[in-house]
Amino acid sequence: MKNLWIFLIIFSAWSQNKTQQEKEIESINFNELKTILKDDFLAPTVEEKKGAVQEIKKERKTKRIEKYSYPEEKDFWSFISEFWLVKNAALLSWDFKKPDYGLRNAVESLFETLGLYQVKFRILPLNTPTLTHFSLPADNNEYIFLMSVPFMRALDLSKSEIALLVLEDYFRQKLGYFNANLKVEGMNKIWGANFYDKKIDLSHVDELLKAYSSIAFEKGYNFQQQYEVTKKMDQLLKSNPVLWNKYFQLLSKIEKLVKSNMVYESYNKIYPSPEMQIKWLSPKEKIL
Amino acid sequence: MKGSIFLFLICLVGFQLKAEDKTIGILYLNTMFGHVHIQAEQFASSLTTMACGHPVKVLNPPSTHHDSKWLYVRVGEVKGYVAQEFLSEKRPDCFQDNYPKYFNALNLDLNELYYWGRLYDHFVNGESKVK
Repeated sequence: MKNLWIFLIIFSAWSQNKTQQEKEIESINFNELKTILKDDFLAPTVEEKKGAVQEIKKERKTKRIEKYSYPEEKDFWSFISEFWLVKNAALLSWDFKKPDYGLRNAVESLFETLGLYQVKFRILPLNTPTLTHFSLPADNNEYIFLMSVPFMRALDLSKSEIALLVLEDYFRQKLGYFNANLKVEGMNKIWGANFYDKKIDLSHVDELLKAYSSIAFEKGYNFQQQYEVTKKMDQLLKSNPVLWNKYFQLLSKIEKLVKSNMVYESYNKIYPSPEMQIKWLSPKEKIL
Repeated sequence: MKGSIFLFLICLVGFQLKAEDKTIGILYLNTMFGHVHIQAEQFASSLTTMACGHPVKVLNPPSTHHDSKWLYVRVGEVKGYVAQEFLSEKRPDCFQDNYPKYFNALNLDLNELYYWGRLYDHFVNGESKVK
């Protein structure tokens, strides 16, 4: 009991004692200080600094929010095409050692001969017959072309013939057929949108990857699209009979291959069909 | 006499090794991912993978290296070769930096990072020009 009394006395004495800081704060007359600051013209500086701090905080928040952006369309296609190639690396078998086939010069030369300038391209040779030749969308007037080495070998293609196949794929891409066939809706709402304070929605990535595979391996292009591409090739190559004949012979080669080699029988599903292309290119017979 | 020649040779080798390791500049990777190769060759094994914008110390090449398309570099503790076309003087505009949260959400595994870097080694790049 005695101890309790001692404790209570000490505690009450301590609680009455104020710290030096508390005493200082009590002794300061803030109203007077305000007047002094006002007289010293420091108030506007204080306001200015407060404003600057607010501005920095605002900028920081904007930058933080920007980090949660979905890609803009201009940055999207190269990314998703490359991502598809990465996801399908084993199936497409592009990671293999190979010689320089001279494709770069062949394609550049053909495009330049035909007046197709400043077309940036990337060609990826594949070590599989699963995908014979194909093009993927990219950004900034760039094109990604895939070319199967076993397919080139089976047809014994020359460099200029390979370049003609690349040109066909170039038109498919240029005419927007690949993107039209993707049929993934809602991309316009995704591009450039922000998901700050929201759950990110990556369903479009899965859908696009599936759609890429579907076009490349199963559905390909329709007859109308093939007709337009063939006509485009016809128009462009007509001014150069050597190239036109080469293209015609190339289609004949492919037609024979897909009819005789089981490995390439699905070619007609992707590009219907070399036989029809030859018909579209052939001069119409006159009926007397 | 023999001893002093030996000492001179050791100093010479030491000096050469030091000169070879000297940093002559810093460049930045300009592709989504890339590899430091064990040799100056596109299909050579990878020593490490790096992401777009990663700074790369360019070193004086060893006397055996003559291919101007490849640079001898140091990335962290690793020394190897990177193709010159994949390096820029200025920090490039990287997809990962522009859309960091989106890119992170893709949760790429190590295998995918490796292949993404490899992709650029296999692309044949070109552009048609006005003659």
